[in-house]
Amino acid sequence: MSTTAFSQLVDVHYTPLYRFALSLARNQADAGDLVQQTFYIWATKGHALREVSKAKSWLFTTLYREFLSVRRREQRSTSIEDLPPSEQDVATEEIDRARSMDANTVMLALQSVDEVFCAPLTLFYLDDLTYQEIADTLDVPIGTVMSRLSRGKAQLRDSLKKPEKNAQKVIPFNQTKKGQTS
Amino acid sequence: MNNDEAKFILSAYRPSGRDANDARFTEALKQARQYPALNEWLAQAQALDAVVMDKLAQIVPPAGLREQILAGGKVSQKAPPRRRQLGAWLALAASVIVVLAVSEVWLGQKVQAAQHNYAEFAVNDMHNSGHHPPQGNGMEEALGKLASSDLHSMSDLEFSFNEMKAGGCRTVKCGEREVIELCFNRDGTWYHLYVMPRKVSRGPMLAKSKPYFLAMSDSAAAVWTDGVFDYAVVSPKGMNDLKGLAG
Repeated sequence: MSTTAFSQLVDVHYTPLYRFALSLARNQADAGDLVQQTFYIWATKGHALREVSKAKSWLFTTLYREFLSVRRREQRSTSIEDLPPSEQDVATEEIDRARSMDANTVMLALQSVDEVFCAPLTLFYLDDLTYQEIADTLDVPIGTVMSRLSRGKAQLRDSLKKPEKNAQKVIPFNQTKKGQTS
Repeated sequence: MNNDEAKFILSAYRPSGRDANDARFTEALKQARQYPALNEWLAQAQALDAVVMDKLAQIVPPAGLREQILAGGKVSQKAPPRRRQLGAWLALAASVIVVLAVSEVWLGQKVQAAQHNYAEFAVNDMHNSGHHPPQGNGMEEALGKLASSDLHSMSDLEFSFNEMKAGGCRTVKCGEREVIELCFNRDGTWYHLYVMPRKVSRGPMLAKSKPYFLAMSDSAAAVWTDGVFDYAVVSPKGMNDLKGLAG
């Protein structure tokens, strides 16, 4: 792939990839590292991908797998069965409260959602991928994506109600990595 | 489909309209249009989703990330060709080494086979053909030198294959190659020296460094080359006697 083509690919995708990475990694530095690593893998392997139209999906999938390659070694994933039932009715006050928040506060709320729900939820809000692409990225069936979205939204709404608690709930990715090595 | 099932499905329906043509949502959307409460719920849920989407879209990557990615990409994009090139060279070098090794083994085996064949031919010919002292002009001098020479000094004799052949020296075929036989007596023992011009020889070169010895019954042969002729000398007294000639 030429430098120009690579540059164009980065320009188109690095921002949504960063947002996705930030929701997963929970801090800017690690999110940046994940995005860089993803494009590095593209530069070394992805150029062999014949269908350029699949580049976006490939990038999201690769980023998520890179994230999981570290996170899977942790035991912090939440069992779906342990979650409380979702609250499905949305009050107008919730919408207004969210609207009044700045982007970082909303991102913090998103980051506080359990990881198993955070990834599909972020991909849902990024609005870049189809459901099939999201399912492929997360390597789960579409039905599971929808189920996790429903649960994830309930958690997000709960986090948006108590934004002051989210900073305490969010454990930056780099701290969990340090915890692994100690 | 009841309204709870529809809510479950519609909670995945994005307000951007991206999923408008997705058949998975068709029935649930139809249900929402039929039930005002469900439709109201969908409108509220999508309003909240739209806010979150908008907030997420306001997140910008840190300054310099793009440049870092591009710089990293340039480095990594340049790396594969070098690795491929290095890999290709390594593969080529490995291939050459393998070919050389195989060739060396193959040539070694060919040379050894040629030496063995030549020695075997010489011993058999000595046993089957009797003694034939050199013929022609100057052969007496050569005979004298042979009688007192060690193996390597025999190569110092100035042989003229055609003159010896014209002078009546016995020639014999070793395979398809013509060889001159020179028999000389040394301390009462008849030795047979076979000389084959290399330009006539189309077989592999014999070892130049040291003679190849072959013992057969009570006899033994040594073969070597000086690059001009291939020599084989046979002693009817065996290996120890022949190695005595080698000095």
